[in-house]
Amino acid sequence: MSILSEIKEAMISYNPQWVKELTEKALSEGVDAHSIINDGLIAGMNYIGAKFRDNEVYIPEVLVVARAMHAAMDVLKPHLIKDDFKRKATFVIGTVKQDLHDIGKNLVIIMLEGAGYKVVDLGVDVPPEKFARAVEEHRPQIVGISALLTTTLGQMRTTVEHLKPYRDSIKILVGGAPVTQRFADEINADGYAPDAASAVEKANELLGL
Amino acid sequence: MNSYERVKTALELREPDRVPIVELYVSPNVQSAICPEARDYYDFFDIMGLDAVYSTYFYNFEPAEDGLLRDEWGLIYKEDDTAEFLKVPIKGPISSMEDLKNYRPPDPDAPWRLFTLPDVVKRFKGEKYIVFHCRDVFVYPYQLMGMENFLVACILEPRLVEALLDMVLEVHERLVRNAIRAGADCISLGDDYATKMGPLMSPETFKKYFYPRLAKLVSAIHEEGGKVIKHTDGNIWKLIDMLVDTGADALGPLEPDAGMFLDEVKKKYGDRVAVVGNIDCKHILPSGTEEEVEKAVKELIKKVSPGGGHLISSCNSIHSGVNPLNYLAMINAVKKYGSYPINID
Repeated sequence: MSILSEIKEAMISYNPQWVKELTEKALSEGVDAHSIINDGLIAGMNYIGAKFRDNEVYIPEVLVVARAMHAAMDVLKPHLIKDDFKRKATFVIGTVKQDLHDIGKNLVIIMLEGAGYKVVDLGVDVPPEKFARAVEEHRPQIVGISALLTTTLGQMRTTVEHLKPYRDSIKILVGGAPVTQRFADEINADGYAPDAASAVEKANELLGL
Repeated sequence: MNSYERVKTALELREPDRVPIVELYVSPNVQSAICPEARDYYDFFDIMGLDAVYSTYFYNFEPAEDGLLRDEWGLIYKEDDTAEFLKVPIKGPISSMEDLKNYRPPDPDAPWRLFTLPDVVKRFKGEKYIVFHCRDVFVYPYQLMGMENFLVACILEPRLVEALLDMVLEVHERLVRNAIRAGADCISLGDDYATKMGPLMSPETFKKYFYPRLAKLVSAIHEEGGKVIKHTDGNIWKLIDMLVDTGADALGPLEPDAGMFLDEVKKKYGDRVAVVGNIDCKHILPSGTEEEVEKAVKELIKKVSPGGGHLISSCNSIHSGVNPLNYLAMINAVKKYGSYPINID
């Protein structure tokens, strides 16, 4: 088995420590950092992502694989700055003001990073002004807004309205338990995704990628 | 038949005189709109003729660093006036076995722990069915570690997870025994194990950690002579066999827009558990018409109530977004259509 297949194998057997060690080994053998990411880490992530979409694995497994990916990325980071790993687009994401939930948002981030996006995570309880500042600062192509509580849906509407001046340069994707396609249309978002795996598909679609 | 007997009969899978009306929580703004004469939270249940009264535990809060709050579990909260019913902590004190070894859980026997239960018992014992709502073995463990860390630990650190769950189980086992001894007729176990899409963990993970401990909690309650209603949000079809196997007397309220239709649940499991619920409180009760509410109640009673074993409620709670007139319409519709024998064409 090639070392890249081994990395993928370690990813999908939920072993972050092994992934990290294999990544170090691959680098020392002169394997290019991009190949490690694309053919090892992202390959493993995609495999789990598809299983997650099909309800064959669950949130804990996805989180473990994401940790493995992050551990490996820490090892690869110094090599990437040299290599200038190209991300396909920048995605700013956050949970709306007054809402402290982040697991859904974090799953979306995991899937986006796995798919090659640069993600700027604003965290939870993010006021509309902070979303706007992040758009100015990071110049993303797409902004994702998350909410878990039915009572914070109003904040989602306010946030979308607040981003109006930037709508020529960004797409807005919304999601979270109480959000529906109808609500997304009503508040004039560009897209809605019911779960983390389809969030990536929707983002790709909105950006024509 | 009084309210107490009505609920008890339904929980024993038989037909009472009328489908019992129960509700885990009714927001004060809804209460005062329908029933301005109610002087306290429980007056509403009395005046409106609800058949069960719910009370719950209490943990003290103390000031923590940076203007935050800490509860007796050591969980840290932001002061938040917008939170309704349940506060969400922002961090917990446990991230390793070492932390757990040094951790001291709250005392389940503290005199304030049962909160309003003693008063509720004094006022309603034998007349209304007294339910004590309690967490079980999932929410505190994940709050104590943070949800992501906890779910990851379920895969990578099984020993830590087992020990953490045992600690929480021990606290709750004492708490529920105390509640029954203080006069509660039933315990409602409230931890949510699923989202609309499905369980938060694989059925294998649920079976390994949560199922045996839930079953133990249910046995402890039965040993004290109490009954058990297990509530969870979300689509639980993949866990439902195990939830029924815990020995719980009833399941619900369950979420219809997560695919948990009570007629299906009753058809498959109605010989073993009663079902609670489940008028939609996300669309129909907040923004439907009174006619739509009446129609939904009539349909639900027609499909689920015959034969008994059904307690009617919303699919979660009467939260502040529910249109008070719709809740009134729901109660009136149960009184109109819910008398046994059910006769709806």
